[in-house]
Amino acid sequence: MPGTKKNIFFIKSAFQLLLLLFAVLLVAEGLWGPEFAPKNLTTLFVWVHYRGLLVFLILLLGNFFCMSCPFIFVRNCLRVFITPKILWPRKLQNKWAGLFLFIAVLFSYEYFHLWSSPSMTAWLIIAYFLAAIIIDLTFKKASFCKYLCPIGQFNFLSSTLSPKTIAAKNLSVCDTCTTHECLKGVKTENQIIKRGCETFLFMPKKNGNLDCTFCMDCIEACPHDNISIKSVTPTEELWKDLHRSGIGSLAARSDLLFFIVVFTFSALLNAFSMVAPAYDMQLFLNKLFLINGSAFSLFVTFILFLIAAPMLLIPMRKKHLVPTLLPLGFSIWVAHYSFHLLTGIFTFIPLLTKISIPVSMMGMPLSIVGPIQVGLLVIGFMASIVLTFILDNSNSTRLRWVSTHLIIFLAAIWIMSLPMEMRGTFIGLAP
Amino acid sequence: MKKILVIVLFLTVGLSLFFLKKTFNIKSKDHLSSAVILNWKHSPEKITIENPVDFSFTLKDPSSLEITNAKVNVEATMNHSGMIPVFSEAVHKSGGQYHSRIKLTMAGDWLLFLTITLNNGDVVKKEVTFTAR
Repeated sequence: MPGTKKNIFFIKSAFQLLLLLFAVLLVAEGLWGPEFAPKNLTTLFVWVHYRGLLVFLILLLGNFFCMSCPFIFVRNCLRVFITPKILWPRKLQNKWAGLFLFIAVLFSYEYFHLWSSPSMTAWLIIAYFLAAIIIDLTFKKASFCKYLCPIGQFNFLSSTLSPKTIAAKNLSVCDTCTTHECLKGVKTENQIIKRGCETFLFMPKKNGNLDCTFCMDCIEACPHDNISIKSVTPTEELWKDLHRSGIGSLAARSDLLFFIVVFTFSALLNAFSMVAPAYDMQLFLNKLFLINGSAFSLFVTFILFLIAAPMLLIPMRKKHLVPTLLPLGFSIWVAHYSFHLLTGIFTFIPLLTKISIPVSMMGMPLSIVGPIQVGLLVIGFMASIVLTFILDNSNSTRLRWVSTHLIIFLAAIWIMSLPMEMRGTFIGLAP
Repeated sequence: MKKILVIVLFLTVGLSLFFLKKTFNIKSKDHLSSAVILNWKHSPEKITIENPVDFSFTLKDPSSLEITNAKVNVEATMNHSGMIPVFSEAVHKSGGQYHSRIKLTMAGDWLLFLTITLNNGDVVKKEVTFTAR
């Protein structure tokens, strides 16, 4: 068994190193490569391939992108020189800052047209590395992952629908354990020999994938070899609002509930931003308020989608049902990103190899991608309804929530059925 | 030992980037050569995705003489990565005029990349932008 644990460490580190080198190349290409986004591998890989593969990997396997996170590799390397001494401030030990950063990234994406700017995409990667390194060299444990990282928070929520989780093999073995290496790790006075869970998840009470980065430190640390990757039914962890170690009850965490609402409605917003009515609405708002530029109209759009629409649609009195939004919300993200990934999956080949390939071979036709998108949305919608029926017995409550899911589902279908409009800032042109 | 390994790793990445910069450094504007003056128009005036668009390009050299025997390849693409481009070769009509008919696949901001191969073998690249509804 020690051999297996060593393998975990090397496989994880190899993936992290690989993604680190990839990130370095993306930064170089973004800063020094072609300025036009479709001709630049950074914008292509970050906004088309990375996002698409991320959601599919979470959907089909689990949160393995967090496991392979290159920020953690750099952080661990630098922690050889600098050992953080303080814990993340108690008052900030929640998801509010992460939620703010998540919305900030979405807003920046629209406002700065990040999809059409290789250099800004490169700077976003650099900013991410700097933030992760500064936070995690100042504060102990995985403070950046647990409280701040916008991608991490997205992955945590999405992975509640994954078919894999890290769990104890036999809980009775945990009952007899008195040393709790899975949480505390193994350390001498000056040195950490094996890390415990850096996001404070105590294995016997972990109950799901929330806040789990799939780092497998717990598997390495457990002296009883009692932790493994386990198959579960997607959404299973949402069937009961169990107390989760390091998190508590979902219904009692207003930060997480609010994050789930934003996660779902921002999926709609992110897709809506790419269709014609979004541009018409921004023009209308600009005319109405006699304002030029997109900041104000974009701000109003964000308020409408992330505050007004949820206030109208979500019955907050029954907040234990808020997690039922997750399957539908995630299906909207997957349906949207699958459009970009599948329609342009091989567009990198001519850029990378300078070899032309026929247009028909660059990606799947819309006639195939469209039904895939609808199928994903239907599955998400059905899962949300089933979850609603599992979590509440009152017919009136069920009806209210099913109506909410139906409206969101229909809105998603409407958005996905519209022809996309690709708008952005033109860069460095003129005949 | 760990510290040395980390230093070696970061130095390797840093040095590789330093040497790789030349490979990446293709932002040169040389291809926007002044050897060709391009004028262009399109029909219909309002570009939509329903109907094909006729583009007309007029090529002149710096002394305003029309360029007649050039080969003009057109690549129409959008400014979002991963969008599939449309390719076409512009047909020489008369004088310095070249025509290309393109059926656009999606509404939004488009760019036309023109690769103009001149009689003497020189290759000049031009870009034009427009919006389709």
